[in-house]
Amino acid sequence: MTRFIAARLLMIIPILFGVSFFVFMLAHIAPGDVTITLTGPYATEETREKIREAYGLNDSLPVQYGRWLGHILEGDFGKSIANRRTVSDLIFPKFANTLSLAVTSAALAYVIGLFAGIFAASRPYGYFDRITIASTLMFGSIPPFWFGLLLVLAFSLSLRWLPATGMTNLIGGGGPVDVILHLILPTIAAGAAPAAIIARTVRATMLEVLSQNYIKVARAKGIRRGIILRKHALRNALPPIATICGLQLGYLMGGVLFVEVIFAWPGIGYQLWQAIQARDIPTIQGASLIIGVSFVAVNLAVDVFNAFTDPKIRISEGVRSR
Amino acid sequence: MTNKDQIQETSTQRRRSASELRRENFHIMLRTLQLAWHAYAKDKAAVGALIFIGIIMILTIFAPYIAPHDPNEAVGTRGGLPGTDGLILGGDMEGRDLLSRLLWGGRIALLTGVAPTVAATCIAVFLGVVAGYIGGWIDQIIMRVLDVFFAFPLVLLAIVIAGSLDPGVSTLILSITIALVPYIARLVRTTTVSVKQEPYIEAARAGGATTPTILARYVLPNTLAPVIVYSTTLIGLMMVVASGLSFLGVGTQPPEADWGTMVSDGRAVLKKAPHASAFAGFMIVIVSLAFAFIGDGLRDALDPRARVR
Amino acid sequence: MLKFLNKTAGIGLAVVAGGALALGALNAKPAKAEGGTLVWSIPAAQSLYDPMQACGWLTKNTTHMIFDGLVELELGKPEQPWSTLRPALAESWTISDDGTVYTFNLRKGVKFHDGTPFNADVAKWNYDRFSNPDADHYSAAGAAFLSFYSRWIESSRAVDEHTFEVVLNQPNYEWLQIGQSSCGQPEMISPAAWEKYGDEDLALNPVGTGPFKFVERDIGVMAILERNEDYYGEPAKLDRMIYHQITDQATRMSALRAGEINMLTEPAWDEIENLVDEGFQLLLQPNVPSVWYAQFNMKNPVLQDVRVRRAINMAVDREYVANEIYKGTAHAEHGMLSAGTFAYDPNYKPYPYDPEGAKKLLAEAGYADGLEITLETFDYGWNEAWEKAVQRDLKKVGIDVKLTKLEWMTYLGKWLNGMGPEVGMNTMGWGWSVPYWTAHATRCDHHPPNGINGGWYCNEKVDALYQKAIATKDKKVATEYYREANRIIMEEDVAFLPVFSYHNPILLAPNVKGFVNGQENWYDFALPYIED
Repeated sequence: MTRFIAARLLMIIPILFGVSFFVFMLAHIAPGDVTITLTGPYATEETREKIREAYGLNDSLPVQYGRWLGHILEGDFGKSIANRRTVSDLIFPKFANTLSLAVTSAALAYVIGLFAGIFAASRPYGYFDRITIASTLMFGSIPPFWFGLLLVLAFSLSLRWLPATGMTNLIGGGGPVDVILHLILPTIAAGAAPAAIIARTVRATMLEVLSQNYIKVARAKGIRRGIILRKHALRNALPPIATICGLQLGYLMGGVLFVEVIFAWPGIGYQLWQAIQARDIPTIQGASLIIGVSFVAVNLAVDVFNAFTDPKIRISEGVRSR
Repeated sequence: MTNKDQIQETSTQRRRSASELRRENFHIMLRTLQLAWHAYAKDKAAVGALIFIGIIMILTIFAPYIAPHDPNEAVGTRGGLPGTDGLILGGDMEGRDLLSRLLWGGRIALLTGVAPTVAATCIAVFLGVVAGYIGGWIDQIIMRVLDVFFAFPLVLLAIVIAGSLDPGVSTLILSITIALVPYIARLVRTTTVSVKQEPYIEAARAGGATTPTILARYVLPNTLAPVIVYSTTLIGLMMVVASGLSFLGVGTQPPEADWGTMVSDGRAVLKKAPHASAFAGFMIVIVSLAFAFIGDGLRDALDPRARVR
Repeated sequence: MLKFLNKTAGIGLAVVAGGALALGALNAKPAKAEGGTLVWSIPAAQSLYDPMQACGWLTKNTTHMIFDGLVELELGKPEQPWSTLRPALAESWTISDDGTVYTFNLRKGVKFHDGTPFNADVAKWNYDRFSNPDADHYSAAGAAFLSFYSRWIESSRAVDEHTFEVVLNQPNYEWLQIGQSSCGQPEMISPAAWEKYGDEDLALNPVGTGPFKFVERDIGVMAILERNEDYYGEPAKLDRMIYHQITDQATRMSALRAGEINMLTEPAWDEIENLVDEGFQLLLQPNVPSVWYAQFNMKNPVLQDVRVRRAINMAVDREYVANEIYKGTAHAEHGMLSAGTFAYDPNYKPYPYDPEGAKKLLAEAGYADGLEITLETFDYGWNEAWEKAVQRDLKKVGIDVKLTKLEWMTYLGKWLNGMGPEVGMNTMGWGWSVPYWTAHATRCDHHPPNGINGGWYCNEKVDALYQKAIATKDKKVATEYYREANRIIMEEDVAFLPVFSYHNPILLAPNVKGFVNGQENWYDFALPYIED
């Protein structure tokens, strides 16, 4: 097992290089250039050229990429061209903000998705099944930027229970309780779609498993429904469910962008979008890399989890536990 | 003379037997389809959803003939409530007929929802099944390359595509497709890996079935169920992602009507004119719901075991 | 309203959020009673807080509160048709009779926020930073931003400790006001701060002489300023000024309604009425020097025909845009001489809405069966409302407008490079409080890459008029030159499609007092206060 994990960990390195390289290329191909931000609209081509030279933007792409890579290996993410803060100062706090939102949203989605999915699968095609799945889907299909606003309209403006924007109240707010209150509505808005997807996948996978022969045998033996669901079905349904749960957490790391915009939540997705708008390559690089790391980490966790829970996969992956 | 007759004779014979074979094959296919449809039809919600989507598609396809007004022309009061100026659903914030925009907007919404999902599913199923079944280095390479695409900022991708092509619907479809492949492929691969362990695969292999046969006959049908369920759920989600990209300036071009864009345009006037975003939002929700129900029906129809239920 | 929840929220949750708080939350302190905290939801990201290397209205809103120039725009008299200059770090100034020597009498006893005294040497040091390539601290970027201002400067010198002199290379009576723009600002920074932080990091640690001191900035999220107690002039009334970035229009309005901000710009026009009914104060400013326009491309084969350009101007219903789409928060604009400048003529309306006349003109030009034009615009969060109105109006006279909406940086790059022949028109919304502004988009020698005349318009008569206007001391005579230039641009050559000027609607919470919506896109935050 440890070898399997170690092998997968080693694989992360080329992936991250791949991510950073393609992002780097894309950022260079994108039309518009950062010298506009750096020198303003009245600058002559000569000045722009000078600035390009000073920032090393004239070197060939591999050279620039190599230089960036060298710094990264020393733990230096570089400096934002557009606003001169070091990229790590800029992105790590925002990454933490996104992480807290993504984790709470994912937790909400897992709880709702798993319960709704299992319940629905336990009495398939009945009214309960239909209503559960339809309602999770409905909430999940509302465009998040609209759903967020409806939530704000209801809970902030009409009921006055919860704050509408930001992470803290700027006029006399602050403190952990304030942050938690600010976290509630964005969590619901971001968690709705993953919850729906998980609920449907759980239901489908459970039905699939429940139609297997061993379940029929178990049922024929007179084992109670609840035990069959928990002990036999769920365990075998786990790999695809874990995969989907992981995918959704990964999706949330980048996908909360619109929720971040609607709730003015200072997250990494929004920061990346701003960096893209400014063609601020070091920041684009740093932010993509950190999002990439989180994606890969989540995927790795899922793989490891699946390897642990499904003995058949464990062997087929060619990993000898001992 | 006789020679020629003989030749003709044998060729007709051959033709007959070939056509018979074809007919037989056709019958088998028909029977399979019948069974599938039978399984599908058992699910009333799935049938309803199919009919609903069918109607929506027909309505949007014939939008030019059905829509009472030009969708881009101001014909009524700005933000007029449903019923004012003879507009059944009222006007949007530029005085355009909401009903006409809904009809026209369905075209782009469905296109940006369905096209990337279908395209991405096809690519992902291929990659996922190959990676999952063959395993080893090929698996590693495919999945790690997909991991790279996983971490791609969708917006950056869309900006680059919009910059090198032209901003518009094609940009949306292309960038969403690329972004979507890794999600589906991972699921396909996981399912393939667990299907591969099933005894019936081993049996088939022992029976001398070739890899393509095993893939087509056994692996694919058994991996499709969760994929279809997942993909159909994604359709609604992708309509929303597309509208988000349009909102950021890399998607549909004004004044093109599109449900997602209609919601996004109307969201700032929720108090003054809630209908400007509500109808389009409602359409997105129920169309997503309908696709999901179709997905459930398809799962039952494609899965031989579920049919016996 | 949150008290109940505050008490009952579990401690377990507090632990979960603790990590997020430590990394992400900001230490907002409770407001005191005397001046209060004004929180403004800025709609987009700000640029650098280095006035010489910054561009944009939003940034200027912060930098001109931290920094002062020799002179500043008077933004506290909203009733004037245009804003005039007021003394700032210079108590007074004189312009020589030939219009080339500017002499400033500097204010005595002024200190920067870091205690560095301000004097003529400091002024000279600051002007050297963007106009003297031989200086050690010369900034090429700063020079580029300020080139519209520094291109007139021959030399500058400190005459004595409190007298500073700038010599221009040609007569220009508008030069001081030209410096009052938002893209490149000749405002005084502390040389000691430059020494301490270096040219790059200066922007992260802005030290000026203004009514507010810099506290902290979380880039892309917010910035906090606090009152400078030692300000040389009338001190600011607010304790704190917070710029909170809220990109989404709907979110901004929710934040205002929820009491989380108390100043809002860029509301949805259709919701203004509701917000006023709910008790928020609405402030408008009809004389903002800024025009929203489309520039015609003289390299486009179709638009080379002046009749087509004229027909387009006749076919657009500007009053509809101003009154129906922007709900009266804008006025129709027929020329490139904008309101808020001394040469503006509010009665100049050469293009009343005339679709029939436009059709006739198009038929005359050989386009009776219609034609197709591309209009490039950018995403600035207004849902392309006026561009779509133009598109609809032109459709009525047989012109199919293909509207291409681009993401901002993509657009800006294209805009600065000038239009290719396939593009018909592109849009922009800007202006200066100096009528000379239009010359940037019309001068023959400003064709890209030497300037921003992206429509490739050129008329030497117009160039000569602007040149004459700027070298004329008598404003009345200068006004005549400007108006004549504008008439040629708009009626003879028809180089633009000006559509409207925006009145910058600002919504304030009921307890915000003393706020002035001045004749610019930036405001004087030293004036307002919060009433308890």
